[in-house]
Amino acid sequence: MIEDLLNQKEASKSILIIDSFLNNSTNLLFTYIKNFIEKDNLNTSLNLYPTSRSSKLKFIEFLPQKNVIDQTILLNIFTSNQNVLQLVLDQLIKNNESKKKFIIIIDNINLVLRHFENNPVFFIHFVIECSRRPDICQLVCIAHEQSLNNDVLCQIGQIFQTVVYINDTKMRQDEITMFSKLNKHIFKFSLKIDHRSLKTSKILSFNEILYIDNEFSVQKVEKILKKKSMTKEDDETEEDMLKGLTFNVHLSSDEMEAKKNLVLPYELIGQKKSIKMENKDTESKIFYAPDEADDIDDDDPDDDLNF
Amino acid sequence: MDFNTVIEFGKEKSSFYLVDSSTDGSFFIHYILSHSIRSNVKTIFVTLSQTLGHYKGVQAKLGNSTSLSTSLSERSLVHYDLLSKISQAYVEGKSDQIKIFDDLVDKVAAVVQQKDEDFILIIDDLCLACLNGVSEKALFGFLAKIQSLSDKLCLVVYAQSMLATRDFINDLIYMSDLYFKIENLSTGYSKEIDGQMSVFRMNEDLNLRPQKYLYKVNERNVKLFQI
Repeated sequence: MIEDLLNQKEASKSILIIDSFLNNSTNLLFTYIKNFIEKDNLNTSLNLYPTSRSSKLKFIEFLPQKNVIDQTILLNIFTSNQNVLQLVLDQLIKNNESKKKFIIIIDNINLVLRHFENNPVFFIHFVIECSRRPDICQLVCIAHEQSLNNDVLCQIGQIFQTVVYINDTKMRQDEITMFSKLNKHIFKFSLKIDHRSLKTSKILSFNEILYIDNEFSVQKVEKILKKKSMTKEDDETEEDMLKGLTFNVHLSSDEMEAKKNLVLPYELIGQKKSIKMENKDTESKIFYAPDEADDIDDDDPDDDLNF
Repeated sequence: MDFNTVIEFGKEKSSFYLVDSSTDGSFFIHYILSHSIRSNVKTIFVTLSQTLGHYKGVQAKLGNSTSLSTSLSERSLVHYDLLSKISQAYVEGKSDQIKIFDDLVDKVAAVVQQKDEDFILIIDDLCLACLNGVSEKALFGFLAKIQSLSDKLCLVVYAQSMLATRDFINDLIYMSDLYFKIENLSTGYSKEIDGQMSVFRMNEDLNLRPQKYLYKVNERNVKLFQI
């Protein structure tokens, strides 16, 4: 799935990439942009909208052609009270004399939401508008989960057709060994992709691991299948819970058998069967030695009770 | 190793340094100020946490007293007291917070127009503005305006993260090129070590793994030990 998204083979109208500080999506975005440029699309124009000077410089360093970088958001964000997203849409109509199609990339929607004082309404309206317009073939946005309210993130995630979560980017030793022969720096992305099919409206989930090299080419994609049996998972969690205990909670085989064979008294209610006690010859006797103060007689001690 | 061997301030390509400190990381500001005085780079020093007298005293200890006075008189170092400006604005009842920074932005623009050379803007400490009632949106607007004035501007922002929300600091981190996280040792106090500093090169390092150092602040310098 991720490979199809990166090559634009999967026609997803809107893609939201959710990353975090240590699991950064920059390389993933660069791979997407590089694939687009290599395809040499004549009728589709790529429009990058950096939201800060730092990201603008980052794109300038990466891209040979700087005309794909549009400063509409950068010049208006925070410095004016205008709807910067509406400015983007208006400008696309204004400059589209050749009736091209557009791919819009916004690198940090956290700052855009801050511009709207964390009110997601304007951004949601923008995404819906982009999905409706035939001249906008794809919208790609990056969100950083650490400075976004979870509720806002969930709300925004629901209106995108595809949401890509970057869960982990740390390479294991066996993975490093696997790619060591290539003599390239490899970046790993452990991804969860939720894709809404427009035909069936079902949400399909994919768990994949993507490996990209330092030239932003895809080296390998691994698909992770979900475990089917739930009981195995339950057993494993129970075993994990019992591992660290200092006392024994397990039953031996004899104890298990005795437990299985035990008949509890309430199980015999309504049945003719009864629990048979073993008959013993010896009867138990109680020996009582009275004190001086004890009044021993044969009268019934409960005679004085009035009932 | 010395602080200036790890961070060669004059050679760094970064345009936005963010210093996020959960402890006393003011040594960083004194180091940057000392560097800008010695290298004669045009500097605008915006203060909120301390008076100019305090910085003069520290620079005197570092042996830069005369240089600091000379820089101030020659206007290669310009001081701006932002805290007084914020309090004045509140006393006068000015509700538009973005206009609090207009005077500072105009001064920076005037400096930029004078000469086409590199210059530094140091802010100590941005989170105190939040504490004094300035909205986070107004602060972001101010930073965006400042950065749009010139590509030759190097912005150094010191922020004591316990004075602001974590979301604010996280958004600042994504705006920065070079991010320093200064914190206490996780294992407790030590006589030999004052704290830990992590350096994140946000745009250069594609893998974003930090360089970590332990630091010790001495009377005249800062020693770093790589971990």
